Amino acid sequence: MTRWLLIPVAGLLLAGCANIQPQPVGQVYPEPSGQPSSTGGSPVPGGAVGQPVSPGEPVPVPEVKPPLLPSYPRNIEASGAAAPVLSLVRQAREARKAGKLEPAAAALERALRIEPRNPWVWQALAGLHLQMGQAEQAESEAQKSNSLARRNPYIEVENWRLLAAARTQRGNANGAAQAEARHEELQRLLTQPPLAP
Amino acid sequence: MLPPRLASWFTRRNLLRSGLTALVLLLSALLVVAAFQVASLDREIRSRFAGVRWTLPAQVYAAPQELYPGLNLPLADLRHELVRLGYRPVDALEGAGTFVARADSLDIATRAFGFWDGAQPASRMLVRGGAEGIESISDLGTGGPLDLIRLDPMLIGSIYPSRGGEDRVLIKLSEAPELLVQGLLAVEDRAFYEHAGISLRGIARAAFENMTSGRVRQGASTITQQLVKNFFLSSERTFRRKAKEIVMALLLEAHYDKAAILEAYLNEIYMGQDGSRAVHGFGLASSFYFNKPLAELKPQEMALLVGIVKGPSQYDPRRRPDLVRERRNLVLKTWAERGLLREDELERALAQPLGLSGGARGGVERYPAFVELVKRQLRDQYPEEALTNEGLRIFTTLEPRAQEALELRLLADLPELEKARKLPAGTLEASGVITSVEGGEVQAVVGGRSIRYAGFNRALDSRRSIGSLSKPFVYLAALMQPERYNLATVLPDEPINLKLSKGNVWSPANYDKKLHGSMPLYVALAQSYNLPTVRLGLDVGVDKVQQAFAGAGFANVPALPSIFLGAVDMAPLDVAQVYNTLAASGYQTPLSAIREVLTKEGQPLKRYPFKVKQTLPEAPVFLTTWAMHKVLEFGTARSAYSVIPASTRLAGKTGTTDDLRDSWFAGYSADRVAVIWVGRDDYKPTGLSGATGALPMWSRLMRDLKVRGLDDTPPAEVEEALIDPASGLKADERCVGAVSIPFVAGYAPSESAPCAGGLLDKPADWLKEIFQ
Repeated sequence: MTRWLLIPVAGLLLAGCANIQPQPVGQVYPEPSGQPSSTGGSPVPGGAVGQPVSPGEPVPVPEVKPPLLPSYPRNIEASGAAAPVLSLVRQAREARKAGKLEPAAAALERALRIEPRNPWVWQALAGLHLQMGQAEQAESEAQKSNSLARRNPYIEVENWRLLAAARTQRGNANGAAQAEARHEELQRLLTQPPLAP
Repeated sequence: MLPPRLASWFTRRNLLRSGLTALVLLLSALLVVAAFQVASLDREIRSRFAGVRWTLPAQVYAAPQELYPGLNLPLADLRHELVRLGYRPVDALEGAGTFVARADSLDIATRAFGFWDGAQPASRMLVRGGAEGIESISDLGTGGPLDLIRLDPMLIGSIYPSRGGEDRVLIKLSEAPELLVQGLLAVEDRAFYEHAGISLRGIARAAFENMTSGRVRQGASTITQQLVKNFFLSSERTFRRKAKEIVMALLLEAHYDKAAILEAYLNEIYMGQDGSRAVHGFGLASSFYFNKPLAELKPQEMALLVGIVKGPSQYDPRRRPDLVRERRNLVLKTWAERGLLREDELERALAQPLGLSGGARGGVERYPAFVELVKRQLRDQYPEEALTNEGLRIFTTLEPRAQEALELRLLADLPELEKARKLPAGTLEASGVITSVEGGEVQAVVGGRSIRYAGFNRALDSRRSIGSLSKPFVYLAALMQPERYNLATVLPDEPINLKLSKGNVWSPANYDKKLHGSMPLYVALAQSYNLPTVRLGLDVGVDKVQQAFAGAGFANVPALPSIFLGAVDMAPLDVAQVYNTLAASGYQTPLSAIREVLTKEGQPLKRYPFKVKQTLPEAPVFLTTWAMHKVLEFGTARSAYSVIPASTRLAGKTGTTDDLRDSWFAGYSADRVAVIWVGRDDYKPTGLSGATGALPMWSRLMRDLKVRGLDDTPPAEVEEALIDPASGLKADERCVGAVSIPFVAGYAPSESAPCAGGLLDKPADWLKEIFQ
């Protein structure tokens, strides 16, 4: 039950400025994105026009609103993903355990053809590419997952971990530290009991 | 002086001896020469047979149709899909490749297939559903539910050498139907298992039968001889060639067993011609003539193939159906005489039509424009010989249903356009591309009206001015500076005279040659007004617009103000790339037509994984898409919603070039990007704008594809605000005609509009200053 109370707190830190729609549990994949590339709900600075976006760099959160939603799915099984997607994700996990990384990636891509905007699947693909040493690809996929996560902290906490690791692999120490901070922040909020109101 | 007798003896003896010696020498020399010749022939035949026996073209497959509960594939479409794959409708399931159709369900016996990630065995399943899609799938054996199943993918082409290209689908002897093999021998070489390569009896009998009967006549050549003849194709009829053929046949038999020779024959024999492509072997002949695998052929179909071996150009089933039918029936009767068919089977087979697959090209080489794209992407990575000789299996992203929908639009709509514009039939050309939004997979390509013929591929190679298709990138470049521009920014619509470097003056005008007063930025894009766009572009800067293009995936944009109005030459595929990046929220994925490459043994060789990279910021891309939706809602493309349900949210842009030479439309849904170009190869005006030429085709295409609408829920970085469009400032309930507009979060106007109690303002002043 503590989790339920935690979520608004997590949301506090995560939230950008946009209003959040209540999201019924078990709803099939959320089309619009939650956490955007540049994270933290901050706008893209005008000066960055035309420059390659440096996505995922945390920016101070300008404004915080408590989210209204009571619950986020904690894993893909609880997310209302379609049965074939779940079965492909399971297949990918097994392949990955068996060290068959390419077949695992192929299964995840097959799942994405069915549900192209499923943040869990993008995340799984990011994790896999990280393991395969394809850090750049992993970073983009984790960002994409964040974009599609609708601010689900259970998705984001793992994405930030992946982003930190991917950036470390790519030699971006600064970006990695920022991602790590985000990850730890979320981790704390998701594991510690909430403060009394 | 010698006595005459002695002299005569001496002379005779000497002559005899020298004659004999000469003869022996001559024979020896001949033997040596013959031995050398035989040895050389032996080498030749062995290397031909044992080495790469056949140049095996790469086989190209479409994406397999995935089936799962919840898929929005109407049952009627699934039935159509099965027919396209060569599945036969039957009353009760027979072997693999058959189905039973009922009103609300289908029984399907699927074929086994070796996919990249492993073999999928043949299965029998029950698919329930209706017009909305598939409701459930269950295994007919166990009754248990099935989550996900793939149909075998359609073979869409082969990559064979362009000159004298031989194409084939390799089969094993063990896979060939028994009736086909026995039936072939019964007609072509009854003594195959007895002779040693040539058959004297066969020659004698053939000569006799040829003289006396009207039955299927025996050829004088054995299977082995025919094989040799095919290996070294040459139609000269000389004694020398015949002798060579006989020697090689004997050699072949000496080296290889009957099974190997028969298998080689089944794959080598010439079975017909398809343009520049030579159809070799029964495997390809089966798909070329019947669009199904050999294992699924009926007796009369096998008889047809065996019948035409005799002379595929003479017995061309598509050109001379009556002659071929006669020949087929003779073969069937011969089979019955030889006990290969029962009397009732014979009667049934004789009553059947030829059953050729529709269209001259069956299931193979149907999509030359798409296969051309595949070839180009492969050629970057494989040498030509690897593609034409090694039998690679290429799994592509082609979605036959999308391809068919696109082809239908070109075939059906172009004549309609010509008629409406009173243009002579055949004047207009068109091309189009469909891609998947998130994976960047090319699902369909049409390179021109002659969709079955590989010719000028306009989708890939016709680079034309894109006209107003470039405008979204001007607006995107502006919206990427949220502190300066937003969708409500008021733009003036005033004449512009821009001095160019060589003293020329550029004076662009609106398409309707009118001025429309000031308007919000999104209205200028929706109505595709040129003057506000040029103003905005000049203010933002050519370099920023170039960078927006580059972020979307096209770097070759000149540094000229005319790019704001589309003086950029792009092929439809290039346009699909840049619009795909917009559709994917700023994540760029290089468009790809290939998923996997396998060796001919089915071993994975290379996979082409999804590649994404964020190259444009999400919030400004969302705003641009929002404005591009307005293009369809009330702008230049509003006619789209007379075809597409209003609830399906789409975004797109019309493009028209000077004097109506090019008519473009590019746009997207949540799942697909589609680009259509209509114009003339001779660059003459067509009388069509983007809205009157390409748009109607695009709209019908999106309707036919049953695309998923865009989600209008903004991402976290975007907020919505109520705005007074006249001033571009914050509105409240007092403002008439206020609209809710999305902004990059933190950049919505804070100042109130006059209608909401704010002070009067001149919002466009900053713009005017620039031009003074």
